[in-house]
Amino acid sequence: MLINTKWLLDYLSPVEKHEELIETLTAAGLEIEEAWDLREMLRTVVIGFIREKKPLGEDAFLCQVETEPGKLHSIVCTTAFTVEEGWGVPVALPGTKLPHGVDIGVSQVRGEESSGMICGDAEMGLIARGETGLSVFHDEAMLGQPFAQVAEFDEWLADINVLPNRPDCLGMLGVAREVAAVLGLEFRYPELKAPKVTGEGEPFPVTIEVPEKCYRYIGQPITGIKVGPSPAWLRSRLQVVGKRAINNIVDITNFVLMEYGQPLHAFDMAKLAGPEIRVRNMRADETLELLDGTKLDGEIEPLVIADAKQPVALAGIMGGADSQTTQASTSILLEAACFDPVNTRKTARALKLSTDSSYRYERGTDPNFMLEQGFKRARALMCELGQGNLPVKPTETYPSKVEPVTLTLTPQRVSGYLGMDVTREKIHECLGKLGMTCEADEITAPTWRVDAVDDVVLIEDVARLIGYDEIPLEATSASATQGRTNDADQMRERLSAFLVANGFLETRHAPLVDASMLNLFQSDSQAQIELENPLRSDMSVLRDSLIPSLLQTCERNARRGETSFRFFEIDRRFVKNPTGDGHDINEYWTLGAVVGGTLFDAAWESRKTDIEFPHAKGLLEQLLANLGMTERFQMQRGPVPRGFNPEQTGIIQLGETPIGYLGAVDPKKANLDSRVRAQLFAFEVDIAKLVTAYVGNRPFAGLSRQQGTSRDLSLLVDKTVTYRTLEDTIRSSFAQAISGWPITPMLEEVVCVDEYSGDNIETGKKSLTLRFTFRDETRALTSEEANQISEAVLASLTSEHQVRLRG
Amino acid sequence: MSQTFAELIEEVNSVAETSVIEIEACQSLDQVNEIRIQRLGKKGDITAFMKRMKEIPPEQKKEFGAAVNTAKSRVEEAIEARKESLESAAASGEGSFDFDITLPGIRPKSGHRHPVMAAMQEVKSILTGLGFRYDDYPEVETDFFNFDGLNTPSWHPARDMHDTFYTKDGNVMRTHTTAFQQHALKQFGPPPIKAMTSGRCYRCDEIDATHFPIFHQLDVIAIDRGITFADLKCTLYQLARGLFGDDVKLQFRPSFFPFTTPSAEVDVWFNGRWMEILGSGMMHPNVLKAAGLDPREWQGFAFGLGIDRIAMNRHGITDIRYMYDNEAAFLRQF
Repeated sequence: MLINTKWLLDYLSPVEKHEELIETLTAAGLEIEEAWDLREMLRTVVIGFIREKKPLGEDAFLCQVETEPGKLHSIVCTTAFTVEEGWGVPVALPGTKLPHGVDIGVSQVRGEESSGMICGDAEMGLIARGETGLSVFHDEAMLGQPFAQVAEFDEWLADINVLPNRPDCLGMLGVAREVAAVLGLEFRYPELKAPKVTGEGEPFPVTIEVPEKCYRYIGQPITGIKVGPSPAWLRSRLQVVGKRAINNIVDITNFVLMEYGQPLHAFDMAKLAGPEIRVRNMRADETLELLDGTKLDGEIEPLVIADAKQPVALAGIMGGADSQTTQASTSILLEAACFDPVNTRKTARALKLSTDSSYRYERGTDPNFMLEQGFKRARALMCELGQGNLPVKPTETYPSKVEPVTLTLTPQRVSGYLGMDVTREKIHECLGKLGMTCEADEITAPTWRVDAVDDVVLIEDVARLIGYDEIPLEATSASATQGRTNDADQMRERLSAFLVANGFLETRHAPLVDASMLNLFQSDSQAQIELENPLRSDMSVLRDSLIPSLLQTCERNARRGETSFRFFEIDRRFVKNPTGDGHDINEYWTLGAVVGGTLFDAAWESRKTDIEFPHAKGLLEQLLANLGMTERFQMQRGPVPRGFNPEQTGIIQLGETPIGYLGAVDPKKANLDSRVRAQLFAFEVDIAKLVTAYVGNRPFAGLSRQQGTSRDLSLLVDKTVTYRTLEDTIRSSFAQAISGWPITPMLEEVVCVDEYSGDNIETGKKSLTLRFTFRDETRALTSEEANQISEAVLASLTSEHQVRLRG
Repeated sequence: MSQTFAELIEEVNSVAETSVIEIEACQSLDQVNEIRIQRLGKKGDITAFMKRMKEIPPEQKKEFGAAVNTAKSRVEEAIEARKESLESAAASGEGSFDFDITLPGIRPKSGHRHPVMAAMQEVKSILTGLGFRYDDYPEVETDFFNFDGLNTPSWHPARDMHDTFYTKDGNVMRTHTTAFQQHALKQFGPPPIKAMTSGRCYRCDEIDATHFPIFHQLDVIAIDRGITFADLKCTLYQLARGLFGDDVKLQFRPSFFPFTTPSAEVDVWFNGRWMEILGSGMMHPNVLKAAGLDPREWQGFAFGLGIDRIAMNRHGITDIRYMYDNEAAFLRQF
């Protein structure tokens, strides 16, 4: 909401500095979106003298304006003001930024070049300074002088954000009331003249059929109206806050809306069937055309204002087109009402309408003082400016009066909430400034404070007016609590630390993705979690895997010239439990990583080594080794995710539990951008399963002082025989080999030290060199003992896997 | 013998002379060693003179032997001297070597944390130190946890402050991590409770330099007997000191959140201006009531921070889109 400080000062005394008023708004709880010091903003507005004026069409002039001695600007003037040759007027030079987002430049207007703009006061954000709204100067000595120097003003314009709890501040009076309370100024409401009632007319009956939706309705017939333009003081007040001036009657309703926050409406009485007003639900078979041209049917049966025959306005939201006040109107019905916030909000939402009126009704307006005062203010202005008469008293319907709320508030309660001593006197002083009635510990808030339903609201008012800065920094609660993170978070941190130490860049992707990025495992596509109201189609479903996002990141980086890729992300995967109802969504914390390109950052071509499957697997092995889980780890064949090469992809197992998968990305199947030249490998691991498998505080295994013994076996093996099965055989045959020995050496490690197939190896075979290391805690093994073991192992390998020793 | 004895002595001396000059010109130990082999080795020049002793008449053997020995020791001394000087030059890093240490190295890959995650972990660890426990809560939420349980019923105008994503099943993508409050109140039973969570939040904002529909927050609650606004301020100062240094300045502005009253926006003085970092306040009685707690017995405070904004400000990142483009050139900078 825009506010102008000069307007605020209409209600305050003594007059405060404008800048201080702006600073106060924040302390009053009104957020400032933006504030403009108009003196500063208007520094390129100068006094220019009109040397020549030629008509340009019916409602415009082409003026030659001298803005510095000898320099003429051609300006097309379409303003509503009369200008005359020889007058000095404020001219915004090209480059000026005027309020309301108007940027002045050099432009073509009606086929003529126009450089600059002749500004009325309101166009500069200023309340009208004279009768016409245009500042005119006759002293030629002022030629070229900055307007802000010649005309004295310090007005500020501000765009404030009134938070939803304080609709009473959706008018200048409400804002001024808050400012007065913070600054300790005197605040006064406008003086209201009570026009005489002539008593010539018939009363205008009003019926509220749905009292739960309309709390109060006042209808006032005003006759003998002369519709015409409003005076400058009124027009400019609307214009500076961004509203259009239309005619005196409409302007008055808008002005009171901006002043009191009380929406009003003026019906053309001649267009109403009646005399009668009924506040009722619209019927399904009725129609209503609104002021903005919207044609409503009665489908949702919104609350309407109807005359004797048909709906004439959508209650609290917008007037009807047929009954609006026009230039031809001579008698009107002035409406001041209070509508239920929730119903207004529901209707406005359903019909996708939002107006200044609905905005205020939705948040809650005062059915008592502010409504009455706003009504009287508008009525008095219509009689004064529109020369209207009051033929009868207003018709008022107020089925059940909204009474103010009285809350108990003790000094102990306030002190115990804020953590500082606050006396009863202080409470009364603060709340009294806000118009509350304080008697001992009983506080009655005015009904415009629709938020004052809990005592904590009053405590906030007291805190605000004392100043948040005055509240001490003091720990008043002494309970000891244990600060810690959960197991999953600790695991995530371990994983991040390992990956960062191993050259991975941590990424963050939007979990909302394109549907094509789902279902890597061809699972049920019905299980996808789709947004009802996505912003865009490529962010319309929740991802069930981190890998597609990571692959996209590789592509993006390849396009930026990167050739090596190491990215990871730790986030949730979302999977709907297909058997479940509504909220049965599983959020799995997951580690996703992708790696490809060179092993090191070497610029030397000759030293480059590209990452292959064993490197990728090795990273995962090392990660699990870090967590103390290597022994239970193995890769198994299993379902292959879409986009992966089945030959080089498998399931990651910890013991019997699958915890994820690792594999080589197939660039064709994954439809990878061809600029990603490196072979990519990716893995995804379920973090909850790592948490379950993790053993903190691993036991110390002791340090052996005996020399270990190793034996290598170079074997020729069928290609289909896996290393894993050979290792298993080695382990089991080792146990057999030493059974019955007086000592019990342990098999410490089995590794593959060489793997080869190709030239010199017969087709269908591969060569593997396996090294196994064993150690006895009591003494070094003799070479006869070691050979005995080695031969026994070889014998088992030969019989179980038909291996042959290579020469 | 064409050569006179005098000429022979002259040759011995001149070989010694030349060797000394050559040795002194050597730039590496290898070169010195090479000369040692040429002169003093088995087939060396000076060694060769020794072998010619048998050709020398007996009366002159003594003189010749002395000359050769002198030559030998002169060369040996020169070699030792040169070696020493080269070694000391090498030890002090001077001298010349065949191995070029100025060639670029071969680096291991360097990893980096995402600036948002780094900031999040930092805030988390400060709060852990202040006695708050961290847990995870759902991102796909129900209306109750995201709104109703936070004193924001469906008709409440405060719902306009959130542009909410809904799933087709009618669930809510949490619009703030504040959605954890009712979970935590239920989970941890009777107070004292000091709990926090962090993570992703979703709002349907169009993407621009300052808006991204997915962002990160961290939310905190503390409930106990006698928790006050002063406690809140105290905790926020501790957090701010941890994040911005001991001389940090904060500004508390009155504000509104449906789930706190009194409410305050908190700004930190950062790089010469006030930067909005968090929203805070005393937990609204209706929130406590919704969890079955008597607001006359228990009081609590709550606050929530936008992590993206903190990360962006501390690194001077001006466009939020950089944070989610995941360009390596960006990620490597932090």
